[in-house]
Amino acid sequence: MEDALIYIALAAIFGLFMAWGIGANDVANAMATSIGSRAITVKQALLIAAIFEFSGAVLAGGEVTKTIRKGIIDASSLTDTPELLMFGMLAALLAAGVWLLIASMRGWPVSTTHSIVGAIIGFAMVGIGMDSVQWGKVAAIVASWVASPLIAGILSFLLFNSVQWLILSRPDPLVRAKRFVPFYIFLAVFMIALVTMLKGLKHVYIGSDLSIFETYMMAIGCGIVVAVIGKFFIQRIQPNRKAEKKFHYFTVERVFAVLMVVTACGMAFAHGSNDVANAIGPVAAVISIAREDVVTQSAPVSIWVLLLGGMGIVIGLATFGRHVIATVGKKITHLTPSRGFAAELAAATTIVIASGTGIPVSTTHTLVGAVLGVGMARGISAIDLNVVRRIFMSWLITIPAGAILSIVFYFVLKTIFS
Amino acid sequence: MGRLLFEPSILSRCMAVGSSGLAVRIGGLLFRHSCTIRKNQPAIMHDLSVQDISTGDSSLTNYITKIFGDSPVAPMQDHMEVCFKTAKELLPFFEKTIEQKWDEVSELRDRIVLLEQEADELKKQIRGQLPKSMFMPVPREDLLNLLWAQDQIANTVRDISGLVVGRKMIIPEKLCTSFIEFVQRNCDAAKKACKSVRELDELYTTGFRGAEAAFVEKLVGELDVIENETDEMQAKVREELFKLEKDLPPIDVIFLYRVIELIGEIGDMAERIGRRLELLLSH
Repeated sequence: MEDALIYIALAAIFGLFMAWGIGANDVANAMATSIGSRAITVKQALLIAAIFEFSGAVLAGGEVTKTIRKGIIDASSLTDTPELLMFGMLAALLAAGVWLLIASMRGWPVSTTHSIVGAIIGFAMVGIGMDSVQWGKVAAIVASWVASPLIAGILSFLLFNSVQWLILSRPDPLVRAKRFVPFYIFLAVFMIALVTMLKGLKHVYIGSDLSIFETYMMAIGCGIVVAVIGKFFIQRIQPNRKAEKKFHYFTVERVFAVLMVVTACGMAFAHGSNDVANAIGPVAAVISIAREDVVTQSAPVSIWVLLLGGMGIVIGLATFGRHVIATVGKKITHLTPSRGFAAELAAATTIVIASGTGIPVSTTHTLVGAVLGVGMARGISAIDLNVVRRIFMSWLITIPAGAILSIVFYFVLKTIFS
Repeated sequence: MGRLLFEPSILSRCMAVGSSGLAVRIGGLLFRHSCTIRKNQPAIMHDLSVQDISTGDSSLTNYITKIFGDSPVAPMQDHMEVCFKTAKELLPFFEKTIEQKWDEVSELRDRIVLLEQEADELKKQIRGQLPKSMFMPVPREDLLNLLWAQDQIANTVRDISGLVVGRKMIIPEKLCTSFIEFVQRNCDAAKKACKSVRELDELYTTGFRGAEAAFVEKLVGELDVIENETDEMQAKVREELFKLEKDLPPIDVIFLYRVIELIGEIGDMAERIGRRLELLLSH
């Protein structure tokens, strides 16, 4: 295809722009609970986010990328005019990126997932035709936007109840915290490692020859290693009698803070695995069309595209995201590590499973659902339901906004290039 | 930290701090300080911290953190501490009243009024941060009722001191011993209530159950015992006053009965705080 290089370059630039937007704004939401509860510092959060967002994107981002790339649009009607799909994907990227930028500037709680899905549906409906949208798949995705906060909420409710029952309600909470927290660490690492190895790694061509049994053994091994390291740090925690006099659970919360470092990593990994696909799914689509001149349905996602997404996020984090994260650090939230971990572990597990099944979900919504779950278990002193409502309602505006923007960009691009 | 210039209206509120601390909210900034203010002396500021609590729609703010409302727990506990401090002034206040050292009595009265104002400020702040949209582990009404009972202790102490100072009340010598004992026991009740409210942050941490809930129930049980004693003492003081009343100016006696009744109310309010805490546990 003529101009193939131009299209690829454009896709890479737009994709990078959107990944940058995700890193600049969205990552702060994923890290907010950890920083807000003072389990980690802003600097540590940046380091964790950079490493785990990147690895999440590369190791476990493949399946969602595939969905964004070819799960929403049925490209079979486009075998004669593949460039239309290309313009559409470029338009969708640009639309979602611009919409995210506007929303971030104004402080609106919008989701990257809703933006890109809305944008893709938008150009497909108007530019190609109503039939080109795989409505069944779209319905499943929309259903997952309701289900993912719900599932995360139920998980966090159960997790926090178990913490209350095993540790907090006992007369010797410190002893019990030191005993049980390594198990929670194991659980967090095991879940994420397992889903990643089962579903994500085949896109980077490693580990795909492992049997199911070997995969489980590997996941258990990872969990045990991290749990042992965690136990080492937990054993070194000495009771602070002075602080305990004022607040009896001071040292107990410090034990949970170790756990929260692990769940913060998990949250960054989950976010990377699901949200990076929003930026690089369309890039992958454009590249495969430009290269092969046919609307191919089977070419795998190249690793360098995943790397591109990971890099974009880290650049966004370094340029803009650290300011957002710093503002989170200043705000004192009343989410102690014993609650924050439950919310994060529930959200991260839900998101990673969604990533594994290739469903693009909203990280923010899932996390808010998990926080509400802890709240239902009487874990949080005050949750502002007005803000919660605003966050959940925002996607009703985001989808048409993304769609309209992408329709506009689609026709602009089409006019320019043909 | 540089010098802070307050508007006169705010400054006067800061002066109302008494010997503890106060949080002043100006715009989106929360100034917390602890300071010592003694009469005719410059205020000594121990610690001043400024906290950005603005939740305005500025860009670059993170919306996940916005869903967490300001926790009412620490302010509730601060409020109870101030109310207890107010009640604690009552014992020296009556000792000086018995000695009829009116200068010192009115000085103590001033302190009580300042403390009561501080409690009022905190009460307003807490009410302001508990809009109906807040989702909390305990019903909003129960928390506000607890706050009301706490505040009522400070109010009652202020009313008592006002009555005594206004009438330059003389407490009959024969009544003194049991009277002071009665005041002391009511203050004990307030102290126990304060101790119970100090467990509020732990209760929130444990989700209002388990060993911590049992501990608070034990404290409330002890509080009930003290309150029962204050009731018995009140009956005893009234009985003694009844024996003396024919030799005293009738109007003085009427107000003395009124003061005894008000002092007893401190114990009643302390007991009510215990009831409210139990309600929080039962949900």
